[in-house]
Amino acid sequence: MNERRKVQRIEIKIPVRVVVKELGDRFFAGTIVNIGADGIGLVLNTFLPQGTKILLNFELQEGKKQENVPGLVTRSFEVEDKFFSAVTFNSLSQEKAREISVYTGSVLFLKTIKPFSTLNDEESWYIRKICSEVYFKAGQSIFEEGSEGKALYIVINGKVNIIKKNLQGKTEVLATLKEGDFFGEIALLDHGFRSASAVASEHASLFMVTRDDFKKTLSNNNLLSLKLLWLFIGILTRRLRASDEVMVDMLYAGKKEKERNG
Amino acid sequence: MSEDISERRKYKRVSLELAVAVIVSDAGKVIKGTTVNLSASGMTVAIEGFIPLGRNLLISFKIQEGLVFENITAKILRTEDLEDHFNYGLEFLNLPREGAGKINALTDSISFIKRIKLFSVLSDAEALILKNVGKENGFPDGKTIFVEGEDGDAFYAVIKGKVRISKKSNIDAANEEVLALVREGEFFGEMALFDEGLRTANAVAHTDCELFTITVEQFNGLIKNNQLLAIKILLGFVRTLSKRLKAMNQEMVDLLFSEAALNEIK
Repeated sequence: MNERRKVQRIEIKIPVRVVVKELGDRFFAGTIVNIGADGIGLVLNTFLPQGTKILLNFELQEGKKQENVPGLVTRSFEVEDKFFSAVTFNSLSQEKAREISVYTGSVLFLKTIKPFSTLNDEESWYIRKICSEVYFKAGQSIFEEGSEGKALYIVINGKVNIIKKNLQGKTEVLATLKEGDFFGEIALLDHGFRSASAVASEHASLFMVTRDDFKKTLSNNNLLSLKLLWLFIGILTRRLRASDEVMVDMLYAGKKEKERNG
Repeated sequence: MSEDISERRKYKRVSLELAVAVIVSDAGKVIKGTTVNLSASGMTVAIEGFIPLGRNLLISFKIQEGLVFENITAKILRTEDLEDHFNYGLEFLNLPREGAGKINALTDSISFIKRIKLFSVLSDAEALILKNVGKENGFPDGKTIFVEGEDGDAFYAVIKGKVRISKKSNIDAANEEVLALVREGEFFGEMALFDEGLRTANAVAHTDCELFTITVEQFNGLIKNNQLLAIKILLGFVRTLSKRLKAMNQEMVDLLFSEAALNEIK
């Protein structure tokens, strides 16, 4: 079924109010089970015959209400004790279609980021709901070394430099991050100070997830907590391993240096 | 009475909620209660109804499979009137020595587990679950615990003693650098739990050691069966590992700077 689709769908469960014009504006409460810019999968207690014209009211994200989105039922069948209807958005404005496809795309984008790479669509959506989009101009500071860490950032586009001052007070660029990279992740799980600064090196848009929102999301969902903690530990252990390697070589080199200098 | 209390505190008390059946000696009726805490010499038990001081009680309770106590005689030492129930401080009068030994071993293990920093946020009940998941093992001074390059299948926490972590240099395989001494309350070998990789360092008992061991299999079982406990432990891992990484990075920066400084002087 996915093969046949031109537009990618994400599988998330959203409550929806379905208004049926032909039934004198009667409405039914149902659940969207997948959504893309071309349409939705809908589960209802009521059978909607093929060809039924409906209006959909739902909320992809708090404060982002979709009102009276027109849909056309293309087929319906019984699933267990409910009915499934495939609905296409046949007369959606380009602007609306774009809004939905950007949103579903962003849910899928999150799944390509390491700390979220084993989440399913629904779990990724929970994270997406607590992402706020933030913009920085070239040269603008995102956070300063030594400040309290309160959020994780994901680069949507643009470039971010991670920098640190050395003893001489000169700034050194430790890394340049681009689309799909993330930084500041430890702040999500632990209180602590930023060990480096982050500065936009060119105009950058980022997703920001704060520790408070993250904690709220985790407290409602044990499985998601386990998955995320597991991924975070994986990131940390890989970095520790890499540091261990460098450390041993540095210790060794230091010893040789001392020997040479006698 | 104050003597009795100090006597009781010689034994470690743990906070465990267990169901207790209580029979007041001359009444014969079985009353239900719940333990608030427990040691080898007595317990605090919460009961709805009032029992006057001076009565001896017969109490029965089960700590876990194979650790069941029946009709132990106990004396009420003190009573605390709480909103909807009473807490009774009880002293065991005829607990068999073997049973007392088993309770002592149990309370000792719980406090050992909680002395491991990673597990210090666990409740006594959670520490008991964890204790039953893992195993305590002794390693004599000099004994190898694992070797760089072998399959990692367990995680270790140090209850007693010290463990030496060392690693061969990439530049010169004949050279081995000590990366860390793991002390009481600290852990090592945790990467085996998370990425099933090969050991990247050697671990050797630096003194006689007592270690708490959890295998990958046991850990996965814990995650499946006790999500909340697993979440607490994983969160502990994240905190310790991120601290370790920060310290490691700082140390490397310091090393770099000291070398740079040396070069400047030259």
